[in-house]
Amino acid sequence: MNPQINISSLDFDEIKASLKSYLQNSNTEELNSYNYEGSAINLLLNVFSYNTLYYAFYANMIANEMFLDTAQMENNFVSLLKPLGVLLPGASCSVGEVTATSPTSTQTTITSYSDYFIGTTNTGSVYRFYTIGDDITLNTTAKTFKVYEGSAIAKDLPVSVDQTSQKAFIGGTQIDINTLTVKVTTNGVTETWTSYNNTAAVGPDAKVYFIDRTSEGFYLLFGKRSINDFANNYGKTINPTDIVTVSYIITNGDLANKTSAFNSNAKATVTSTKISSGGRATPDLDLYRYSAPKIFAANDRAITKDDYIGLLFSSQLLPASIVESKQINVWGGEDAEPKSYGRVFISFADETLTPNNYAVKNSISYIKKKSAVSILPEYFQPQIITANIDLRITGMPSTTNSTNIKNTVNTYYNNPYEFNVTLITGEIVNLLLQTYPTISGVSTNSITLKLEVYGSITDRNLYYQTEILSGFVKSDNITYLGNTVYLLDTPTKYDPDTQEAVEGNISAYKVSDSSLVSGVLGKVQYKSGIVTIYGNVLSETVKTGITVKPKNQSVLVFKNEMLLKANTTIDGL
Amino acid sequence: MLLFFKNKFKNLESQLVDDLSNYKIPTISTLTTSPLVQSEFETVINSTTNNNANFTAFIAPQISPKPVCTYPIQVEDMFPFWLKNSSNGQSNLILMTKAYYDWLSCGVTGSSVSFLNLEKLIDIATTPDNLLKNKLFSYINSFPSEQIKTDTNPTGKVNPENVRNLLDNVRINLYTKKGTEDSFKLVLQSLFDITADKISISYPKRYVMRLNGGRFDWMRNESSNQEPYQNNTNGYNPQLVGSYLNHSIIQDNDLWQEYSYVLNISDLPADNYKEIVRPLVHPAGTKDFYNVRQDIFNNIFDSSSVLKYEIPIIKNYAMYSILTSSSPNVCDTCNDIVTGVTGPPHVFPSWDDEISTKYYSGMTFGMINIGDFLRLTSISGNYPNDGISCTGC
Repeated sequence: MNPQINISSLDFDEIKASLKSYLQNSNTEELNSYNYEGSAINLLLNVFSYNTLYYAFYANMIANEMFLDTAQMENNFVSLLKPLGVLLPGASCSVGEVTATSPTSTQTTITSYSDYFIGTTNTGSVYRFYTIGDDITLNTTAKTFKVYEGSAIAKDLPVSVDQTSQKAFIGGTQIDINTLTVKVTTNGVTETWTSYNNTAAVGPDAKVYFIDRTSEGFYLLFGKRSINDFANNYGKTINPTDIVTVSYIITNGDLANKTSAFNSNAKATVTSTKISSGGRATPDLDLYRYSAPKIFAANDRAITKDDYIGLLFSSQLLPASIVESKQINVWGGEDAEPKSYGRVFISFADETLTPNNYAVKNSISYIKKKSAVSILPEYFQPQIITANIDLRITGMPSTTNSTNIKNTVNTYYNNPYEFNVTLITGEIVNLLLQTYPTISGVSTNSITLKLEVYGSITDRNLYYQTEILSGFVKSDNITYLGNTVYLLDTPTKYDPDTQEAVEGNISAYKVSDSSLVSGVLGKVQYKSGIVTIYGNVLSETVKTGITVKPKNQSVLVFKNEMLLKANTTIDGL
Repeated sequence: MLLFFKNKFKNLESQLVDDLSNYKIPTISTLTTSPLVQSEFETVINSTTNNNANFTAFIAPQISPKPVCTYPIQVEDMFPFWLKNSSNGQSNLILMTKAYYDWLSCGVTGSSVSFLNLEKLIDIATTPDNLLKNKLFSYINSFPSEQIKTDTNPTGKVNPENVRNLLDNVRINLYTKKGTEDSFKLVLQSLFDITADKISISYPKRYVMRLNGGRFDWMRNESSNQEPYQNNTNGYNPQLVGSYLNHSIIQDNDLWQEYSYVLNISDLPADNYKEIVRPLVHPAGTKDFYNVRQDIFNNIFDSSSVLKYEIPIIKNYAMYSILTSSSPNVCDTCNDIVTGVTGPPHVFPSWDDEISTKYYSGMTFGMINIGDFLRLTSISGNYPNDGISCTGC
């Protein structure tokens, strides 16, 4: 993001000096001969300078509000997003996921905008969560669906459409506009109309509506005139005899986030849930600052990496836990390890989301329709990589709590876990020295990286994405051939020029006496940072950590599916 | 003075009184809506006083195109008449105020934009160079704004005017074509002032060896008895062993594969445009190469920007067996000793950087790792196969 625009100085003394200099260098004899230190003329200079200061502040504010990357005011965001074809919502519901079955052997129906689930947040507050869109039928087979928190509901509320402008107004910005359903009844037949998107069939008979936001609420627009073809409309117009009704949810916003306990009700037995998130009283301007230009540039087709990101954010299909810009990562097969051309990988920063999650499936299915034929978008489950950062602190006063120091570093990187993080030890040093001015020195003893994996009957590859050192590839303790062992590498092949290890083997050693239990149980490629553990070595039910020491101890880049988790210690503690 | 005007210009009396009471002093432009009035006005003043300098405070100068540092509004006209006429029309307050507003118009920061002309920020054509990045953020978000050449960023590779060209109607011109060859060309032509004929986009998969021997146009004319492909409608049957297959290149999962493309631009080093083009139009999932293998991909090519290497072709190594440990005689293969293979044999590849590190005396062809053999390079610049041909055999 670009820095704030500063077209005029806001420093009074600087302004005054500039004005004084200008007057003193004037071609007008009277002006350049004045004594500007005199009380009267100095007073005049002060007045002019203050006047300039006010002007400058106002001008800078206007200039900043004219651009998306520097604007701060929500109303201006609404305007700035319009040319990009993006609607800024008002409030957003907290969204959770519920998996439920019918409480009886007979089918039940959850009526949208009507039936609700009682949910309890982690602080004990209770909220109602509704379904939107079509009603959901349940039977004995579990079904997963999203639920939206609502403080008030509008269900099939008639709205008045101005016949001339073909506009209807829905007041209030506490509405989550993404929960809106619009129905139009014509000659006794009721149909659900859809919000316009670039893929909808557009023509005078298309049953679509447009949404326009103001500071007071939202306008629904029907039968919009085409800019290029005045003979035709974008979408069908509303006739005087038509009845337009809307359903939507008014929300408590962020108050209902972190709701995990959803009760069963008379129509549904809840079998599992996913914690709610994403509720906001006001829109996340930074998210729209990030995604709106990408949505615009995508033009409804997924070609570049940014196109995929933009379209995913605009899809309204993301898992409920994915609400921030850095929670989505996309990379092409050309940037994958190993290379996988013709494929594009998508990862969401929630390690619990598997490719089988229904929201993940919906998202990938959606993006697949937008990508080029022969390019296959696929979900790649994120992998948490733990960076064990061991620090040495010098001159730490006894009043400084070492736990606070460790938490400072951990919070800096872990809140929340993000993609594409670069760990720079210099940054950690600066962070601590600024946060704890009483500390005289910070340095790193070592950084190791740990990946945790389940075993398999086939080989398991671990990609650390950085060159690793020989003799430091070590596993957590595991049980192998009835022994409690750890795995450790031994280099087997060296670069003839540098004598650095190129390849190595993994062997098992007894924890009790470090005696060799088994020879080659895996291999290591040190340069590319790939550790391979052969099949049937690691547990398939409990994750085993494999720790390595990267060669570069100053800068570590974590890309693709990697989510960095910092684990800080001080002198090993 | 007012009395004088009253008598002389009765038709303007009421207007003057109104304007004075509202501190809205008429300027020459408002007084002289008629040339006749203007002329009479000036004549009377001159004949009466013989010193029109005394009236300059009242008679505002004819409005004309302003110099850069002149406030566009007649500041002195904002003051009451009595003040303007004090000090023989040389009021210090007015003089300073006028100078202040002149300074405001451009003297505050030296920037071409001030609070007097903020509308410049709306139009792409007038947005200052240093604020173009803010426009780009919204409309071409992927553009690396540090590449714009400005006074404060002289190392930028793209001129601001060219950025404006690209911004203009970007949705129709670029986004509707994204991922096509046209989109690459549009970006390059807009940003670097190069013509389309200097841009070539090639596809290495056309050259990759396939199980069917891969008959492609580029293999043509190897043998004079073959018809051009497009004329071959009489059932010509390609041979699986022979010159066609032997020209093909083994896939290497890098340049030589199905999803790669090569963008070659003569006269423009890859470093100048690669990081700009890639985020804008590069299709994710494909591998992009810039200014490589000019010898294969048709373009004038700045070889200094790319490491040279040899892609081994079967016909040049057909004379080798797994036990061969030295270079065959050049003319052996040329004389068609191996049926269907007519290429000159290349030198035993111990000169390659990777293979040379593992080479030992007596090492055979079969001991070479296939991975090391896919691309032969020589940092020393010694390419022993350069110039080898069947001429004279």
